[in-house]
Order: sequence, then C-alpha cells, then structure tokens
Amino acid sequence: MELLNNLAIGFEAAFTLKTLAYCLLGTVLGTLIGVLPGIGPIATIALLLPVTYALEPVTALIMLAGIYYGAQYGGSTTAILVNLPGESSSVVTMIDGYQMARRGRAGPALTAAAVSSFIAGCLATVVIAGFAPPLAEVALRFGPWEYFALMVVGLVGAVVLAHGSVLKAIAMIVLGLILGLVGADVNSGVARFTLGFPQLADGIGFIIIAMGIIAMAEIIGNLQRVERREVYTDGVPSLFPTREDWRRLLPASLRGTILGSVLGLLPGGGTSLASFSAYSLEKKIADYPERFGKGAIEGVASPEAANNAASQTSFIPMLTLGIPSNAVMALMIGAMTIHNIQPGPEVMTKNPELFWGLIVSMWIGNVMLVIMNLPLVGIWIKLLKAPYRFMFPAIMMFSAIGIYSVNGSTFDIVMTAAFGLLGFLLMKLGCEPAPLLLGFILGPMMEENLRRAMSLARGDATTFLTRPVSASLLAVAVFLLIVVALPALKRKREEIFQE
Amino acid sequence: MTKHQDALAGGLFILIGAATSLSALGYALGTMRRMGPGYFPLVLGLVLTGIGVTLVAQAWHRGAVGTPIEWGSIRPLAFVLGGLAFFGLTLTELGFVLANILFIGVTSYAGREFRWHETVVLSLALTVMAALVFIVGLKLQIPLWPAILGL
Repeated sequence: MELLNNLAIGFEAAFTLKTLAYCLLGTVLGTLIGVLPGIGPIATIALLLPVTYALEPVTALIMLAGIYYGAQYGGSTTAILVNLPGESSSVVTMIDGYQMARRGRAGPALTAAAVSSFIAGCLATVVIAGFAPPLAEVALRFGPWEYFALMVVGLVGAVVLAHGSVLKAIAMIVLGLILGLVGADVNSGVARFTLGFPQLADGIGFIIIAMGIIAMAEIIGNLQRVERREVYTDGVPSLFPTREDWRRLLPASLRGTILGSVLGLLPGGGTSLASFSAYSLEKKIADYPERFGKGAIEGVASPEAANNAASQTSFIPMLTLGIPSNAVMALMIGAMTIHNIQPGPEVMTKNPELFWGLIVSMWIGNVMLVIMNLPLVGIWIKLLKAPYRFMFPAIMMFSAIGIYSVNGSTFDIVMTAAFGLLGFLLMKLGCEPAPLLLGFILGPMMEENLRRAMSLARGDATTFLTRPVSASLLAVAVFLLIVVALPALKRKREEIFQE
Repeated sequence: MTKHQDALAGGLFILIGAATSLSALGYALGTMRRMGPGYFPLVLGLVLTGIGVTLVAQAWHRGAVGTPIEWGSIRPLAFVLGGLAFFGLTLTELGFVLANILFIGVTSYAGREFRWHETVVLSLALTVMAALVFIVGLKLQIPLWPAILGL
C-alpha cells in the first residue's frame, strides 16, 4: 500500500516532540487571534507569519497550517458566542449557532462545530493523501503553456466566486499582478517600478501586502465600527449535545464534508462558498426547514464541516501544482518561497517529509483543536470580553515587530503603513482584497511562464490553443467568464451570496 | 456621482493603470517571441485602465444610483497608520524602547475610548514584554536605546 507508506513518512516527520509542540502553538495562537472579532484567517496568518520564519521549513508550514485551522475555529467560536463573524465563512455558522447560544445551548453548538470540523478534517486528510500524488504526476508533464492556462483558470475562478462586482474583482487581480511586477525583472535584470527606492529592487514582500492591505484595513475598519458586543453566556453550562442532537449532527457533518471537499478543490473556491452551499443544502433537505434560523444544530454542523473540509482540500492544487486557489493558499506559497521551497509537483518527490508531514499534521491539528479548544472555551470567552482598546495596540506592535524581523528593515514598516492606506481606500470603495493577494503571488509566475512559452513557441501565440491541455483549460476560463456575464446566472450568483 | 464607490474605484484604477502603462513604455517592450521587461506591465496597465473606464462609464450611466461611500471616522485611519509609519521612521534613531512607547501611545489614540493612565500602563507593559521576548530572548537586531546615547 503506497498510501500507507506515504502516510508513514508523514507521521514520522510530524510526530516529533518539536513539530507537535509547534503545531499546538500554531493552533493556540491561531485560535487566539481568530477569536478576535473582525480578524479573519488571512489577517491572522499574515500577522503570525513572521513567527514562523526562524523555524525549519517543515515545522514552519505545519505551524502555519495549525494557525489556519485555529483561526477558522476561533472564527466560529466568536460567531456562536458573540454573533460577530470572525471571518466570512462563519457568517453562516452565526445564523443558527448564535440562536442556539441564546437558548442556552452554546455548549452543544460549540461541540457541534468542533466535532463536525474534526470529522471533516479526518476525511479530508484522506482525500488529500489519495488525490495529491496522481495529480502531481500529471502536473510534472506540464509545460509553461499549461501552467499559464492553469493560472488563468485560477484567477478567473477567483473572479467568479468573489463577492460583489465581477469587474472590480478583475481589477483587483490585475492590480495584484501589477504589484507583483515591482522589482528586478528575472530575464533582463531591469529594476521595474521601484520609484527610485533601492529597497524595492527585490520586489515588495508579500507580508507587507498582506499586512497592509488586509490586516491594517481590517483593524481600522474594526475601530470605525460602533462596538456593540454581547457575549452570551458567562460560562458554558454543558458542552454535551443530547442524543437527538447527535442524530442530526453526524449525518449533517458527513454531507458538509463531502460538499466542502469538492468545493475546496475549485480554483478560487474555498471556505465561504463551502459553508454557504452546505447551509442551503441542509435547509433544502431538512424535514422541518422552518427550524433553521432558530437554532438548528445541522445549521452549525454542516457548514462547519464544509468549511473545514474545503480549507483542507484547497491545499491540493497548492501542493501539487504550486498554484494557489485562494488568498490563504497564496500566503502559504509565499511562506514556502521564503523557506526556499519552490511549490509545485516536485515538492512531493524532492521533499516527501515536508509534503506528507504537512498532510499528517493537518489531521493532528484537527485532533488538537478538538481536545484543546472545548476545555479552553472559558478562556476564549474571557478574551472576547477583553476590551478591544487593549487588544489592537498589542496587535499593532506585534505586526510592526513582525514586519521588521523579516528583513531587518524599517523601510518595510513604513511601506506597510502606505499599503494600509491603499487597503483602506479599496475597502471603502467596495473592492475585495483577496483577489489582489492572489494576483500578487501569481503575477511573477504568470509572466515568467508566458514569456517562456512564447519564446519556446517562437512568438506563436496559437500554441496555447494547439496544445490540448492548455486549450481546454483556456476554454474553461472563457466559459466561466461567459457564464458570469449572463444576466440570468448573475442574478442567481447574487442570490447565493445574499443568503 | 463622485460620491459613489464604483465611480471613485474606477478613477483610482484609471490612475494606477495609466501610470503603470506609461512607465512600462520606459522599459524595453521586446517582441512577441522575446518579450522585454515592459511588455507584460504595459498590457496589465492597459487592462486596468480599461476596467477603470468601464466602471466610471457604468456609474455615469446609472447617475444617482449606486453604493455611496461611507468614509467613517478619520481618527482610526490617521492614528493607526500614522503610529505605524512613525515607528518605522524613528526606530533606528530612537531605539526600540522609546519608539515603541510612543508608537503604542499614538496608536491607542485611534480608539474611541482613550484614557491617559491606561495608555501609559499599556505602552510600558507591552514595551517591557516585547523588549524581553524579542530583543533579549529571540535576539532580534533592534537597538534598544536612542542612538544619540551611544549605548
């Protein structure tokens, strides 16, 4: 059994005391920041990324994965207890989770979220272990044409699945691509768009973009909002769901897992789409749909399972193709590059400990979240009650030190402030930042592949259409764009995001 | 019309797109076969400008209809980013201790509720903790004290 063999490599890499410790640290820190209302997983990862720089690549990635799951989980906790979504995917959890909390059933709601996330985590790990190797094998045969086409599909996917205006999402991607161009050109060495700053010769650090455009804008946005936080429950009386709860919870989490695993694979897909769709599915097949919105446990279990499954399977395109399918994966790729790992199909063969270690640690991270977070609920509640006026200066300080620690450059700190201004502006103009981050990471890769492809084909652009794989990928991209532009489907898409 | 999100966003995209295309012309464009450093940026800049123009045109067409921009209070924006920029600009000269105390002080003022005594305690506590963890513990290369003291 090759699968078992591979998993054994992974367990060996992940089951060292040090790795386990960092995985634990990652999940705790991730939950800690993720619990804070208004700070989503992208911002959380960006804020905590510098912590992982000093670590070995395997440990760093495992810790980052832990941070990611922790942040997701923290977001659901906030959604259930305070009725404030920590991130977009827990908006759905909020609907029934908060209603359960108001009816004194915060405990079962939290348990439902934890258990269904855990179930999804276990199954999605198996999905990754099964699907990633064959996909990586196919990807090894890809040339620059296929890669370019794949990235186009990925970006188009991000547009299709972005909230709000399609046009603005495309603009944000292009803006990200442009920002990615700053720095020395790989082929000619010409310094582009450096505005005369020698510090920009190596390009803009992606941590600066992520911190400035996403985290800073989120912090400012939080401070602007009038705070009206009601933390329900002083303590959580009982964590245990009733037998009836279990009967509803388990099948719902399985349905959520399956749906989430599939949606996580889509380019641009990810957790929000997964949890939204899971919620609508549950509502559609429920025997009494009117219970939804009034504290139905399936309304918590299924979306939570779906978003956890999706957050895991979205690692598949990243690990096998080196192409991020969403902003979180773009951050992961950035982190890998910092550790000198070129993401792509070779990672699995060249770095099997890293590849399988990461996969196994996903499962370990899920185990830790369940055994740790339920008992620690009391602490998270206390943290939720801590006034934001103490929290945000601390967050700001850690961000500033974090940015500085990457290159030991104060210029980077000032630049983050400048991007914070841009991020604020874009936020106020209703432009989603996630596609920008995706474009930023993909920009240099796209340009390089395009130029290589064109030079190999002697300037003949039709090669993209004569190679079957790239042609069909581009056809998919065009098809998706047409679909989005059709008025009937446009309305349908708006409806989905409305719900 | 200028009060609406799409119109202003379009304007911003036109500005950035045009600037990108114009400066891309300053680099070698190359040919389709051997693309120069200016080729890809030129195309991207034109695309962004095009989207910007479309957004503005749509907003024009809609007239008064559109999502208005809510700028909100300017205070968080000014003090969060101002504090951060200040920290970056003064860190080397002032050293971590002084720069950080001032940074936390300035940043705290971004919040609606600002209390002097709380901020003093918070900035001192955070500075001591961070200095111990990052500079003493993790040995990050940041000067602790003002450069002028020569410590």
